[in-house]
Amino acid sequence: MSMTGIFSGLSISASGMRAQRTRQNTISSNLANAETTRTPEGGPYRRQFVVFNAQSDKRDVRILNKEVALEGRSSSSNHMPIPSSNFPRDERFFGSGVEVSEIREDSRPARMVHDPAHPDADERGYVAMPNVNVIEEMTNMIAATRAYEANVTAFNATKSMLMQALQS
Amino acid sequence: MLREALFNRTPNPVVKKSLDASMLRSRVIANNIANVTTPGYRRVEVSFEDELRNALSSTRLKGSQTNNNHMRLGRSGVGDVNARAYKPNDPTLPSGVNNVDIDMEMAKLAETQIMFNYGLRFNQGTYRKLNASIQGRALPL
Repeated sequence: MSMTGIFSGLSISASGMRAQRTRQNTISSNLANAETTRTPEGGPYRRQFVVFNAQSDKRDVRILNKEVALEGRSSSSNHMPIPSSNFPRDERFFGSGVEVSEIREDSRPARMVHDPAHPDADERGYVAMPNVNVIEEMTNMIAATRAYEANVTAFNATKSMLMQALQS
Repeated sequence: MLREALFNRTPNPVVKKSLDASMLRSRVIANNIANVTTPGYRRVEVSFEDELRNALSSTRLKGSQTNNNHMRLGRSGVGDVNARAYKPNDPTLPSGVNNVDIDMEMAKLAETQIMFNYGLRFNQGTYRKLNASIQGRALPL
């Protein structure tokens, strides 16, 4: 374990916390706009959701190998490792956390509600309401909270391990 | 020679490897937990104990190297055992999104933490004994 990698456990958990908080923010936005019929783009508000992307760990490998001039990349497990056999293999498989690659709009059709008194109602008296399902958002919110808590637990575990190593 | 006898012919190298494995495992578990809601993510695990057991078992053929140019014979030494991260071939979907089971990861995290603390304490004890013997005093029990 090199010095550069010591705190990467913390940053991995932090990336998970950040991703779940972004998810939580989109859920809050969806709930706040569950009845919004007017948006700058026109039409009702559209439900937003986050897309998670597992991050790869190319960066750590490069830092670990900085002192070696020759650098090789094996794209198949049958390749011979360059430059040396103690190439940090353990970095190959797992990534450095998660990131929110994009926030997308849900393409589901708008919910049509009959309300002739509404100023945005069409000629038949129907209003296009956002495609936000409040119950679905609530469920997602619980999932996001739990996932956030799991990341906090992992963060605290890594932190306590590092503290123990300092104290012994 | 003294260095060899004091540090290398003790459980120290094994404890060192075990601490490395625990550290790697904690990172891997942190990564699995961070990706618990990422669709299509595949769980990563760390293999270490089985390889260590093979290296430490006395039943296999054993060769000793007295020169660096010698070919290695028989089982590998403790120095060659390295914790290795791998993706197990596991098509289950416990969460419906990917194969990360959050309860399992939490259990493994707690286990890793305890193993790490155990290794540290063991190491601490070894050095305390060494220190006491150098100073010629008995360890308080």
